[in-house]
Amino acid sequence: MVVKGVIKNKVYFDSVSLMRIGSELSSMEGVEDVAMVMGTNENKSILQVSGMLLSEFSDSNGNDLLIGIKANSDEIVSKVLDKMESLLESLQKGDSSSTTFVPKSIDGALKTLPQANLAMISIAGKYAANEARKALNRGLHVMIFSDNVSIEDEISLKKLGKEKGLLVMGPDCGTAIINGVPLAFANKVRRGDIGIVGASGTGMQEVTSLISNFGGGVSQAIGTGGRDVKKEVGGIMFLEGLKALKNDKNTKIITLVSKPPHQEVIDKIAFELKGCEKPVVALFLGADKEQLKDFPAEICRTLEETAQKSVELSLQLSLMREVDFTNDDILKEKAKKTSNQKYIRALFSGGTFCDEAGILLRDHLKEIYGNHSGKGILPLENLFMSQKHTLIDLGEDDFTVGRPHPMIDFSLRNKRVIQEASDLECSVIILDVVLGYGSHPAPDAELAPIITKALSINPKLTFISYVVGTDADPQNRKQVISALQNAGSLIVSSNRVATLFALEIVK
Amino acid sequence: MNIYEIGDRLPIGNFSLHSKFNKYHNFINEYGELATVTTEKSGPNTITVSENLLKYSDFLVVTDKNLQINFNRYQKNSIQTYNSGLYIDVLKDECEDINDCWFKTMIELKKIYNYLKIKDENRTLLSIINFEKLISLKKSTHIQKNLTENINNKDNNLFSVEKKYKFSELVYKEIEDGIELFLNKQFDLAIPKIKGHGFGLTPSGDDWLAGALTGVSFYEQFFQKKFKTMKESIFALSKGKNLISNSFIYFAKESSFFYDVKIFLTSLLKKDYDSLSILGVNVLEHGATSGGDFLSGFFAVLLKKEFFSN
Repeated sequence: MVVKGVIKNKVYFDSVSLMRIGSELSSMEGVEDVAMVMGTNENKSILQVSGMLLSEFSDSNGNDLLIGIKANSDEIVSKVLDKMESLLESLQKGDSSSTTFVPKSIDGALKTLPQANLAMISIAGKYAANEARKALNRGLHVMIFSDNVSIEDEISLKKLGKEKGLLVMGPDCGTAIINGVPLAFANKVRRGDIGIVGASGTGMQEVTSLISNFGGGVSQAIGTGGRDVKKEVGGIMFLEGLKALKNDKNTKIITLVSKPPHQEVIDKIAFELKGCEKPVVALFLGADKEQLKDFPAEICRTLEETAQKSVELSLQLSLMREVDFTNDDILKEKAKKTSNQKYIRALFSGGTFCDEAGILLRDHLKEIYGNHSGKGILPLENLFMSQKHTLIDLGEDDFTVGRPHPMIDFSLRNKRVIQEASDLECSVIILDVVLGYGSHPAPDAELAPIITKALSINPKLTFISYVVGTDADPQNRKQVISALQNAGSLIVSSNRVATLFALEIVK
Repeated sequence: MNIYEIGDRLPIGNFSLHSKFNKYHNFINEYGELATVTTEKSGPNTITVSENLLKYSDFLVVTDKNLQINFNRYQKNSIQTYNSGLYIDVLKDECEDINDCWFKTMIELKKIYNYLKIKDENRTLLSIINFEKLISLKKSTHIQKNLTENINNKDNNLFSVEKKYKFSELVYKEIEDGIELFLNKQFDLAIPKIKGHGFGLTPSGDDWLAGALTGVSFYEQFFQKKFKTMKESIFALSKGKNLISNSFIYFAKESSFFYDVKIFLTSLLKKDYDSLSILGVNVLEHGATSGGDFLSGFFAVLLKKEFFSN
């Protein structure tokens, strides 16, 4: 056994990087152990115990990085040292090797692109309001992707935007399509005459995608951020967006998509719609009939119905659609179940889908649990453990803080799929797969192997998936659908159909 | 090139660059005091700046009235100050029976500890150390044993990863032994086993000690009591040659907190439990492993029932 080492003076790396590199080097053929630590006396005492304290380490201190290697031969030690140098070098390059010019301020960005008229702000929430204010004062419309902006700032920004005749989409606005350009998490949809104002990101993605897939097209999709329709903000931007669509000559149909706004905001929207010459389709997901009594619009109950109604008004025809599943399909799935398999487990990456599924199921099933509050939905005791029928929005902060959104990072949902598959009471797993800009570039590569693995654990399980997006999206929609089908998932066209299909199987 | 905020305990002096990370530049003055220029959230000794300014932050001068980063000079009174203290009187605010309130706070602490431990995924001391066993131990089981004896006695393992005793396992094993002694208030034996141990610029053990002192500060604030002697003796034993660790541990002793920690503690004191999981994760995600190591110390002293009894 050979023990060798090197000292690197005043070189600093974070602990995870050191542990990761140490672990990678330790796993090399012929290597017994590798230590990469700062040269504190305390670390040196452990190096001694592990037989890696070399005489050359004796003068080192806490500012020095010590690397100790225990291996079968000198030759292996030099291989380890070479690999370590290249790993440390790539780590350092990763910190500062970018040579592309990236503007660091709004003024810098405007110098690069003076004709810009919209600023997308995606920085820590604490600083977002300040930057948004700067953008508005320079005459730019603003889309604030950042969350954690105070409600006071939101109100003041929206008042400033209104005063200047500029849109303030957000904070926490995930989706918009302006003049055909998808912003943040959005899909490549046909252009057309349906204008949308929405306070629901994934809701807008499903509605715009279905509109496109049904043959219609979108003029503008203006996101407002979910808080806009609360009493405190008073729907300032929802109303401004609505006014913009009323005045937009390319918009012939106006579609509204939101969770239920506060009653005062509903009244303001209704007032704004009085005398509107354009047909209006509205989805206030989960709103009571009483709340929308006398509301001057075609009221819809689901995202799919909203898209369909909008297209029918736009194209002046009744859409004849093929059914996604038949009685035979239901009976076939039911026949393979054990008596224990009773429950639906819906693992969503989009929050609005979670709400919509809850609304569709609550009148038919008891004991529905989830992490979104709502009529008929009981709170989960432990978010990481399903109970009975469970509807989970994996995009909630509890799951996403410190990791990317589940539309980008599938790891958490994949783990959960395997967890559900191992539960003998689980009968149906519903998955949404959201395509478009911002989302994972190849979701099928992540999901298909997991579906296959889950079905090998429990072959009697039913997977129902739906793919939110269009054939023009950067991902290959047809390939995604085909890969999921080949893995063993049933594919339907919308969240509504997925939910109802699952309901029929467990009823 | 903006400065957004400066910490209320930013030291004065001529600083030279100590270490550079993507989002932090650490500076040390002639008295060995630390100031950090960062694009992240504020702390007692930080200067929070735009990315552009951080890029050009190579030297720093702080006077009573001004501060200068490279050749850019700013008046301190024109910059917002971050207040790092906690000024919440639980008794006055909404707590009729302090013991009852503490009991409820402990329930929430236990819940958030369990949640964060899962989120940590075996990255830091928070989930690597077999904590439940440590806090339930009445007396230290191997106070007199040294490191080598502990390693040879593999059956006495409290450590939750595989028993190979390779280098990284040895590091954590030593810290774990130290924590057991610490929770039995044998600080003179415990702290040498904890401080300076671990990976990265601020070793895990140092972050743990800062967390433990923060736990003591939190308890002081809750009960409006002072544990000055205990804190001073922990600090004196914890001080080492690592200037950055010394600074973290000093501010923890002084009840002066970084933004995420302050907001987390404030929510606990104000019984605003709804956002506690998010705020806890913000602390957990601080640095590469520092946040989790820090939280491990914080939870340890508060969840060990006997720690504050005589």
